[in-house]
Amino acid sequence: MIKSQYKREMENIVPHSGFEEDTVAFLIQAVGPQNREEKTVIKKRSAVLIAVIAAVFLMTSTVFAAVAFLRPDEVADTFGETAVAEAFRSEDAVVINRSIRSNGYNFTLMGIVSGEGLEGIRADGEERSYLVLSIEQTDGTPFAPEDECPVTITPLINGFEPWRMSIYSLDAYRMDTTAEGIRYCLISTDSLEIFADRGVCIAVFDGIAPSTSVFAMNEDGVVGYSDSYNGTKAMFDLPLDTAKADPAAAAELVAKWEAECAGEDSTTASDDDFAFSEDASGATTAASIENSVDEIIFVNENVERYSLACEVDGTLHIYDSEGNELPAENFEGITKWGTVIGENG
Amino acid sequence: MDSFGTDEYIRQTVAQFSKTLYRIAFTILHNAPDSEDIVQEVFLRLLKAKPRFDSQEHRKAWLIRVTINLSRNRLRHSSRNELPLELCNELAQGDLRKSNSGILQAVLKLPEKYRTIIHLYYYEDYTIKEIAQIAALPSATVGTRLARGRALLRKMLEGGIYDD
Repeated sequence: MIKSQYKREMENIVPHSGFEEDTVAFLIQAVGPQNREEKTVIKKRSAVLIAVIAAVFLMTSTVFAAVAFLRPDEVADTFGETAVAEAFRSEDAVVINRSIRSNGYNFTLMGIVSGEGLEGIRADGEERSYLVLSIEQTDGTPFAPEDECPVTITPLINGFEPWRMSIYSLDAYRMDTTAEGIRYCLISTDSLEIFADRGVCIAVFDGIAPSTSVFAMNEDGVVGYSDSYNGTKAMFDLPLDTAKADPAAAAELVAKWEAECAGEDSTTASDDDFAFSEDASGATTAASIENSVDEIIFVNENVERYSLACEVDGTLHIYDSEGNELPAENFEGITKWGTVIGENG
Repeated sequence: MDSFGTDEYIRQTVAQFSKTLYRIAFTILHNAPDSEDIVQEVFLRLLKAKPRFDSQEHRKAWLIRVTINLSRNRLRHSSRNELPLELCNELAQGDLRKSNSGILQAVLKLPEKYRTIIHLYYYEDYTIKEIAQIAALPSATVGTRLARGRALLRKMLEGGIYDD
């Protein structure tokens, strides 16, 4: 009801008449054909120059270093993140440009910068860290925008188990873009500098779950890949300034994340849209939901999972992304249910 | 679709997306002139950045993401965001007073972090996963904000906030 009414009322929100014509005229004037042609030529020349530099570099050095077509600031600009781009152009940015080859890919961690309120998408203005990592295929095949690169990139912090503190708990995510056959990932994460005294790294792995089958932590708290893991491996130690470590802020962030997890659980548990019952071990044993549900979020094997389509007719039915119903035993280990969104508003 | 960057490409792109992007910008800014500026800036960035898209939906998602980013930057750096909603409404070409249920006004009065996600979910019919990709937020965060935004909305409407 709310949704359909909202749509009807939003239809009234339109630009002034003539806006489209004005915009077309503005754009044609701002980026005219001559200008576009000139930009193309400049870009081609840049590419040639970069290729020459790359060839010279590779001939004169045994250190493997990547030559990227885009700089980190240009990657940020691609997403309209002008403040992040500016930060990458500033003296605060740390240039890394270290490469690791694994499983047919060449991963290059290009740089990192941190700052408060840089990201347009966030209104909270908290300090966050931004990293740019490029991916190339080692056989020379260029990435097309639609090509999949089925790896996950996560920050890891010594002293915290990867299945406890990773991309999910650090509120990290990445935005990808492709240029000249190279995939660029802009990674945004909670501040990593505050953990600098512990040692922080960026790790690449197959799949989505930073589970014990992928990662391990030794008795000194140093994180690494599990001995039994044979997938894509690229782990970059971040050259963070230990003087910027802030154990109190780090503890606060960890506490906040743990509180949010608990809060989300308790908030959704009281939501009218659904109810789950749990047995003594915490496993979900039954569900009673009166309204249809679109998506659910849950935690299983210490990893947050989401985006499962779900429909309800008195009992819970969970589907994979292709609409196939998943057997109930797949969810026996679920220890925490998250938000359930229903279209019943 | 014509070749990227041609005049016809510009016309088609503007015709296809300007209202969508304007509504998203307006949802964040509550302000018609600023929203129109943002839409033009987004199209300009598209033409300058020349990103590659694997589908129309990919292109639309890119445009929406940049619209959200630029709108939020504008919101932070502009004093106009301090204008009361009623005054902002007067600036809007679309007349919010046509809203007879108050739902639109209720959504626009939600905290910004909720209303953008509510708009994408209600108006653009994106799923949580798609919104997460567009807004570059974890799906869990999107789901939580959507649930809390809807709960706030329900309370606002039940409380008769817009009856007075």
